[in-house]
Amino acid sequence: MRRLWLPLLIVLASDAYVLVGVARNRTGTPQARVELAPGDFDVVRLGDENTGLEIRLRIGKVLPEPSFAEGQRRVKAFGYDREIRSRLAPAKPGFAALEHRPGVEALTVSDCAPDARTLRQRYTFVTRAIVHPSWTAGKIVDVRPWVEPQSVHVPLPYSRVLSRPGEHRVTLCYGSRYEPWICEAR
Amino acid sequence: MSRHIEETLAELTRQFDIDSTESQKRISWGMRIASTIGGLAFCAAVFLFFYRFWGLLTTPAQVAILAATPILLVLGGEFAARRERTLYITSLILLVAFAAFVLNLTMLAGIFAVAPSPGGFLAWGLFAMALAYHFRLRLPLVIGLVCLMLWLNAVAIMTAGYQWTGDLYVWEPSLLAGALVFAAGLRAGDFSGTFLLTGLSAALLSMLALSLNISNSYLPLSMAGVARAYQILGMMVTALAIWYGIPRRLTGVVNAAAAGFVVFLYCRLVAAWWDWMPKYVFSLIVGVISLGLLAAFKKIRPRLTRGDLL
Repeated sequence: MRRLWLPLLIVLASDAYVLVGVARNRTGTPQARVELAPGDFDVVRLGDENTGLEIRLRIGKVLPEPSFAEGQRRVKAFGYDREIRSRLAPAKPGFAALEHRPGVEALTVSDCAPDARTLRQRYTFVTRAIVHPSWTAGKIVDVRPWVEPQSVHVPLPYSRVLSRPGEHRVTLCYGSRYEPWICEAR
Repeated sequence: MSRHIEETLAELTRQFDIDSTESQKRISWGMRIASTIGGLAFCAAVFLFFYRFWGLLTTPAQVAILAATPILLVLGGEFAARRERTLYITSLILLVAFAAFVLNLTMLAGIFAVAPSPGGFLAWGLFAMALAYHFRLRLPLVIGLVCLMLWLNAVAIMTAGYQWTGDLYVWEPSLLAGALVFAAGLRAGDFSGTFLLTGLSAALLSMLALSLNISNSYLPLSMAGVARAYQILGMMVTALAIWYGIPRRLTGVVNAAAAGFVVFLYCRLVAAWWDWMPKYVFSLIVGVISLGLLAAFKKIRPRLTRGDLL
């Protein structure tokens, strides 16, 4: 048993690290509290042999056609203007602003930026994103964000509410680390 | 005399559970394969069992089960190790323990929508290494080294400002990680062969990806220049590994390096000659080179009569 404590300690320390991060994210007033309309998300059962339930955000149009200047502003903000050597410029981490637009049955990605604070000054609903450069003829003209994560686990007791048939409304909270959780479902 | 030898072998087999005949060796291989397949099946069972019931549990119960499963399995592995000498059942239990720890962190991240982090690879790597050193097993060591190399790669990509879960285009950090593992293998004692072979394999795969332009590169060269540089580097590194491995009887290292050398050589030949040379001349030259390689490997072969380190 001399060195057996080490793998056990690694398990406990890793779990503690994750849970402390979760607690930090959820402590205090949430950064954003957004009520999603029925058209903004799908309730997804994860399979016949999987009792888990999650909501999946419906992401509609991603960044409506920008002006050239707007696209270049974003390219510069992410530092892609210095990386035109290769067509294989990798994706970068960033944040996306989501909006509910009247008459649209999905969330619209209105903007993106490398840091969340810039977006938070202009938008309420800010989430994490992975940003890919978009190219034309060897030149980066804009960036395309991919919202990540698009799915949020539904814990008990909300999973009972969302399992019932009918239209549902879900309130998502975003904490200090911009990680979402379901804070209300009806 | 022969009765004495037979009695000694029987005694050694009884005491240390070693294979003293060819048929015993074949059965041992069968047992290894069965324990690996059994381990993989149990891993799948753990995942599927959890998925079957987790939606019915409250969040604290989910967290408690996820944390307790790998701990109980490690304790089970220790219990089994004290009762068997060959460690087949122990390896199987520890493989399941590793899978349970992967499930633990993956599911915690899913339940709490935690932003993806490469820290999981660090935790899994350290866990597998701790198991390998405690139980003196090679499979957890290889798994641990691979996880640690993936972690190093992800950290290097993040440090350069990129998304590590995106397209892992830049393989140069893996090359560096492979070199580090190989260097660590020079002072790894009993596990030296495993370290050397794992490190060399990672470095060769990275160089191959870079030489075929599957990967982006940090080098300030054109794509063709990067491919050429890594084809030549690949041949030099594999030749060096063969030169290093032969006097030390590192069979696994020499075999991997020889295979790598052939692959890099043919990649270079295709890149240099395929486009402009008549195809029949190219095929003829490749055939002649293959004969030369056969002769060279035939010379190396007798020097590797013992020392199977992996």
